[in-house]
Amino acid sequence: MDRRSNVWVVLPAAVVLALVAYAWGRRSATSSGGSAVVSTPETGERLAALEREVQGLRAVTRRLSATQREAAGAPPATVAVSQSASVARDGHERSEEALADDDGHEPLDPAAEERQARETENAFWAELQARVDAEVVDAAWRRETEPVITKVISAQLSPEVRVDQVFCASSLCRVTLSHPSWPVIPSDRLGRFALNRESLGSMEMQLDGRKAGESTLYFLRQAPTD
Amino acid sequence: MKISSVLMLLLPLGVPLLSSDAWAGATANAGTCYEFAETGMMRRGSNGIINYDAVSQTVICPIPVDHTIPAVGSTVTFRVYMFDNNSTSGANISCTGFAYNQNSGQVGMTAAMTSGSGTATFTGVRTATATLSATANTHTYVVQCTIPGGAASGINNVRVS
Repeated sequence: MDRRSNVWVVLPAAVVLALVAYAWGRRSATSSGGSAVVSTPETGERLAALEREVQGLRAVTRRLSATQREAAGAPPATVAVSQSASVARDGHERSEEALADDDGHEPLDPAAEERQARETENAFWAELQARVDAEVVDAAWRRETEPVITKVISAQLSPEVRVDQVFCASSLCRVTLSHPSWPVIPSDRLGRFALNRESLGSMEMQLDGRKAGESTLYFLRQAPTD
Repeated sequence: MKISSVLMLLLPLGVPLLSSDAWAGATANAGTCYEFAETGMMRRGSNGIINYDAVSQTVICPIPVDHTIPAVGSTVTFRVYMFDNNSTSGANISCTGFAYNQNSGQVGMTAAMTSGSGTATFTGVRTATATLSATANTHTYVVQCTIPGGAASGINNVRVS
């Protein structure tokens, strides 16, 4: 097989193998990350991220091809191989550079990306909210947990934070907080609360701070993974 | 097949491997932790940090990570290697992992990683996961710990993956 034939066989093979390896690595990394509390991440978001990664890999392959052409006496490549490798490794921003420079594809509109991220986040909170409302209440756990939540939050975050409502279902609790003097709960106070939450420490927390002056805190009932 | 062709085949394969390595997480030596309120009583060595104060102190340990951002709803796992030889009742290490987005928004908090309760002493690893409520081009990860006083307790390293 001459050099020209090599290029057309090896290049597609490299792209296919890279994509398979990437998909395998991504799947294994995800599966080793522990059990997801929310099991259905937004498909659109994932596809968009995957597409960016694929385009980045294609750009790398194209640059490698250019390097080989250069070695064969064709016009010099403009980007070094080592730089190409770092493009895909760094993720979104530089992958988009690669898209704009080499692929002829338009990079995603930043405003659209932001909008998509916001929608994904909203969907996450809506799902959590719906889960609390849909669950059958574990009455014993509720009786035991709700007073502790009120007590600990009051002790650690008052007077700036007021507990408006506490509701525990069976696998999680939702706590509605208002803090008119703070747009968001400061990280130092949140940290102090996190380190002094007594029996609530057995639960993961999620803080929905999308509204200024108000927050919704979720406690997810689960044992530590160790 | 020429060497250049072999390299061409292997390098694209290396890209996902590198990406996977980055995804696998990062570990920070706890010697890089800083005090929430500077007391000058935390001692840092080549393998971590110890509280030499008489009372408990809080430290914050950033974990530098450069990786592909996990999707919304996925989890990241925090790990703390700690030693707590203070057997005073209630004097225990307690750590929480935090994930923030690039706009400083908090996007995940773990359950507590503790050395135990009461008079317990402990040396070893504690882990906990945080579910990400939002995603962005950059996330930062931090572990915040309370370490009891008495020069017998500290943290060796912290990790996120």
